[in-house]
Amino acid sequence: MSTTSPVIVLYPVPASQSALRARIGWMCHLMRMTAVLWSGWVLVAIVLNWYHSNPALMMENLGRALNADLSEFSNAQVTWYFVVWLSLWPFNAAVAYSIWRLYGTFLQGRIFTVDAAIWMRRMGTTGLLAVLIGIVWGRIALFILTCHAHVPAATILLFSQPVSPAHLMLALFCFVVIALGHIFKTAAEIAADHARIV
Amino acid sequence: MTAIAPPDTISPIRSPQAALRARIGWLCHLIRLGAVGWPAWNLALLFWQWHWRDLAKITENLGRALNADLHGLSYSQIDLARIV
Repeated sequence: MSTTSPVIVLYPVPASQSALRARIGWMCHLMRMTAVLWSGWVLVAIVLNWYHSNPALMMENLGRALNADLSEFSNAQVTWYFVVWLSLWPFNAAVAYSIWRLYGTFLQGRIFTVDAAIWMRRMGTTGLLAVLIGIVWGRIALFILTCHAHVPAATILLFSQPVSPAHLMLALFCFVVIALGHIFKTAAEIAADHARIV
Repeated sequence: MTAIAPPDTISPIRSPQAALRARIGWLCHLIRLGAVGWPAWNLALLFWQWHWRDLAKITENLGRALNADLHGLSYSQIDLARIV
């Protein structure tokens, strides 16, 4: 599914939506603030983890969990681990940006409109992408940290539940948002057509 | 025969809702399957972990994570936590 839409047609907004806008305004502000805080929190957590990291302890714990000797690791491995982790942060930021834009559209009073529906769909798509990347990242991180120890690939791939019910729930939520985005977009187009006929 | 014909039979031109239905049909099936699969997975995982619980390992891992000596932890405590 494409996350981009070349043209967003701004249909006229029915007056009834302004009452709804007044009712949900505080919620929209809250959602926008939460999205920004969440994204910032993820970034700060990565940086703090890097700054306070104790590679020897980290490898000792991982080695014990994997039942492997990881003591011969290099600092470059740990650096790579944090660099790749940090490089994935923009996917989180993209989710936060989509949420920001969706609720910004609502704040403009444009609630059941095509542009709002498109932002809703983008929110779901970027969220789904972030969930999938999170799953893949878990395995890549293990490969980076164990590449010197010749741990069997099957052990790394199956270690500690690569995909958990929490991942499924997040993906499910994203699919629901994508489906609602499609439904609202069609509904907004039908409503706009009816308004034109009337 | 129903009194009101379905939207698709009124006009040969595909209605917007029928087009939408065709577009999101797979998504609806996926969400329904996921909604059924998620609690089932959680339940299966709970029983799996219960069945394969290892007191020594749980005591060691939890003790290390909490930085505390948890020797004396019993199966009944773990079972109680699982039941809750």
